[in-house]
Amino acid sequence: MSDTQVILLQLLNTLVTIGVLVLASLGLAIIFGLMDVLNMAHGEFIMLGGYTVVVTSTWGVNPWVGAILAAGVVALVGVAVERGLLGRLSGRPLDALLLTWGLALILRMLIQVIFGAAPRTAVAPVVGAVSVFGTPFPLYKLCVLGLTIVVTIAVLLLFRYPTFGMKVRATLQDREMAACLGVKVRNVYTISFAIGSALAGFAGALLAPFISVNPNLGGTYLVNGFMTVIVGGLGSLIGTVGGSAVIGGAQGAIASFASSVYAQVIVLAIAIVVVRIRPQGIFTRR
Amino acid sequence: MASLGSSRLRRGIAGLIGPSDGEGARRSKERPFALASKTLLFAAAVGVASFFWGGRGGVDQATLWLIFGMLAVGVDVWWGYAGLLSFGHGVFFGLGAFGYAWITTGSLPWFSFLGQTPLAGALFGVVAATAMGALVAYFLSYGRVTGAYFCIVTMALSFLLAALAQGTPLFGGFTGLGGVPPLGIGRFSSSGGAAMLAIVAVTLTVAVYLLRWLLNTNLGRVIDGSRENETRIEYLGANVPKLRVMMMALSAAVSGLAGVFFAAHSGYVSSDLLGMGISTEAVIWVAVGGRMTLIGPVIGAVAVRAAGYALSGVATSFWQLFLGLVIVILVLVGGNGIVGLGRATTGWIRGKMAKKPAVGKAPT
Repeated sequence: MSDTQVILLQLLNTLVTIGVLVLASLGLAIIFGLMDVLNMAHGEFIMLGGYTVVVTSTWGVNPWVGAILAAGVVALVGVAVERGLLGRLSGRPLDALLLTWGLALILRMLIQVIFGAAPRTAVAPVVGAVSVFGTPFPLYKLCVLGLTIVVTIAVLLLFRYPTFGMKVRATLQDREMAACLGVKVRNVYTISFAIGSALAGFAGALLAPFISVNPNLGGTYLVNGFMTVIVGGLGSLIGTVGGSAVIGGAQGAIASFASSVYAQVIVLAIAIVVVRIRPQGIFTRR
Repeated sequence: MASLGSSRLRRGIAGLIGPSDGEGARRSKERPFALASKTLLFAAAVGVASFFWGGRGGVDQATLWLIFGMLAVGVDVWWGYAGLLSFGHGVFFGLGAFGYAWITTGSLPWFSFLGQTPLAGALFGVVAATAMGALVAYFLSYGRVTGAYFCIVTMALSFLLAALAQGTPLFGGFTGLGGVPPLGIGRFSSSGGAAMLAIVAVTLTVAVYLLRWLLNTNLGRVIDGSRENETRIEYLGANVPKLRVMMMALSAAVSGLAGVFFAAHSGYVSSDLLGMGISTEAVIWVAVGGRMTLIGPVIGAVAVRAAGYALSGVATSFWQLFLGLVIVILVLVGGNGIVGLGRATTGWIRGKMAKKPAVGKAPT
């Protein structure tokens, strides 16, 4: 393999890492950005998505269909949580945070009771490798990268152009005024939460073939999501993509000689120091 | 603005915040001696009850719970009084524990001049935790990081430092460090039992006394103000970021001391002590016991841990489920935990006795 091929392969792998980060944290950023709710159960929603695809594939369902199903199942869970629990806590972000965290513990335990603590594996819907400029690369990874780009653009457009996106942005700017103008604010919150949850479920389903699906996988993805939010800021989905690029890039750069934990620790340390120098910078909204 | 303000400035601000009499002030300005006595009584009661229930093993368990109670007091200083929720106090707890373990087992060559006595270890552990707390708070407070952002950053810090420690030989990697000696001075050493319980209980009492005393001063009133209305208190001349750095240092010191006791009591430290598990559970203890009460976190830690111990006979795996349910119910029901419930009840009884409606509401 020539040097350029090695570099190209490294670049592609980094891109896939970034894509995975975007996919895993987009839902978190949507829910936090629109509702001020830091969903601590986001990692568990990803885990639920993973389990959905594992279970449906044992029933013989096509994994692509399974991924859609996973999004649907987790969206339903999200609607139940929003309507049943979070709806009572509007304007109390710290209580909402604690509540979703309690929910995360419950979900983790329920899944462990139902499926056991042993990790499950999911089969990738497409196998084999394609040749990228003469370098073999797993086809499924490319599919995930492509789907991530499609989903991200779709979400960006959804909150930008249709009437629904306008209602969401109106609610975000001035909740009372939007309600006065006839926007059903409760529904906007519920649908936004459902979309965020669906993205988590979809992410879990797509990631399942890469990872061992176990009840405790949520923590890693939650912290990954936090890291992208810390670097990329909130309120803008572009920020999430940017944050993922920084974290994924740092991991990719360091991956050849150290574990990805070091990259994350370094990025976190830099972010903490930078916030002192530029308080209005990366952490603050708008 | 250069310092925390002159004592005259603090008195002025405290005067502007509001009258220092009345029901609310009486409740928030509990007398340090009364609160410390209650803490000591509670700790003693837990110790005696555990002895009759489980003998020496029971006392060792109770000591562990009181150590966790001390960590919870540290969390309460920050979450309750400074008003920012931290999911990273495990970092300070863990640093305290590792600091003690490193010095007493002589695994830090640079600091070998300190000797290997437990006292030096305890000092090093507390200083390490305090320094870490002040450092983190310096950047985050002056960076105006509050609310959910503060949770995110502290939680990520805790998770990543634990992950880092897992791969570092100095922290014992996955297995941790064993053979940590118990507390002691000279020939006397306390390897568990009633002596250790007494040391923890008395230290906890002194810590509660000092904290309550500090929070009752005019400086404490300014701290109250910085929590309730950051902007207004700054207009009055207080330096809120500086206050927060001080509060976090204090909070980390108490948490670090709890870590020192943990290492000395269990004789074993591992990267788990730095992690998200203990950081988040400490928040539950405070929520269960009652925020802004100082004694509540101790009661909460003992109650939750005792319940967990009783449940572990049924099934260990239900522990997290139990914790999750506790949190969800607490948030939905509202109120201020066990102490809040107790105060509401005594207030109600007093109201009945005085034949007029109960005054005041539980502090939020």
